[in-house]
Amino acid sequence: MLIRKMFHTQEKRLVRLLQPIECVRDDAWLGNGYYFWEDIQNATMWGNMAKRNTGYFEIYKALIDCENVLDTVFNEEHYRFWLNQIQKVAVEIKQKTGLKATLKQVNSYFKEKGIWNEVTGIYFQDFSNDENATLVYRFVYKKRVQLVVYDLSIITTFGLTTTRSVK
Amino acid sequence: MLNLKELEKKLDLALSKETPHSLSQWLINQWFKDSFKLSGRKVHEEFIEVSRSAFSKKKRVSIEFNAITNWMYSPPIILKTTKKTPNATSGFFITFDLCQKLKRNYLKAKVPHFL
Repeated sequence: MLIRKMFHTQEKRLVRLLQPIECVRDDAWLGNGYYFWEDIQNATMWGNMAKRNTGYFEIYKALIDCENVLDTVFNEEHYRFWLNQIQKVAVEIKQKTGLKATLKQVNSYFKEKGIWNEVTGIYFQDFSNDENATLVYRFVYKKRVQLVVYDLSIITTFGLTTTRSVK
Repeated sequence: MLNLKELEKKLDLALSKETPHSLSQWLINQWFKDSFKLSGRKVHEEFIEVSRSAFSKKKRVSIEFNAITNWMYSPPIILKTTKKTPNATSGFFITFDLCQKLKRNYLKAKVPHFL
């Protein structure tokens, strides 16, 4: 069993969370799901950027069973599989409708058609454009890793780790 | 452990069944859901709830409704109001008929070549 420690950021509210809150934002890269950061620094960055409403944000620590998570960050086989599947759907949509699919639509296709029912989450990455995120000038060498969880049952523990005021 | 080969087979099978029409219909439903955030929750025999988040963008939604339907005023039927903020609602509701009409008009506006 592969267990990962991950961080979930939310606005501070009166009641502490017992489980993460599902993200339903339109721009959520991998569709509706429970989003986590691998790095507490990025969880903090997210709190300062997107969880400002109450003046404070909370970071929750979770242990997550990643056995059936698609790891597109460190597992080359998973990454190439993921890339290939996305491109297949995108090409099919382009060829049959003449339209360019969005990432959200591609992910919805996998979920709604039940193709990835066994996939309990996706580990993915982008890069920060914050110059303070790395120690080398203009060298973005550090992956900004996130996990989207589709199945809550893979979260084995979940608890508050810190509360911070928004900067 | 994930069986990638099996997952790949499932996708290939699903894609092999897709026609230009089925994929277009699926995409249209996606746009429709994204644009109007229809929860699809059947709250009443004749109504579909449009979610609260859509209502918070009511102005934009109304404009889109009007642009598509050419109605002179916002067609959503407001059924609920909260005591805290009299002008706000917990969502608004449209009839299934209206939903279908809206969908057809939406398609005409967005993807006329599919009709």
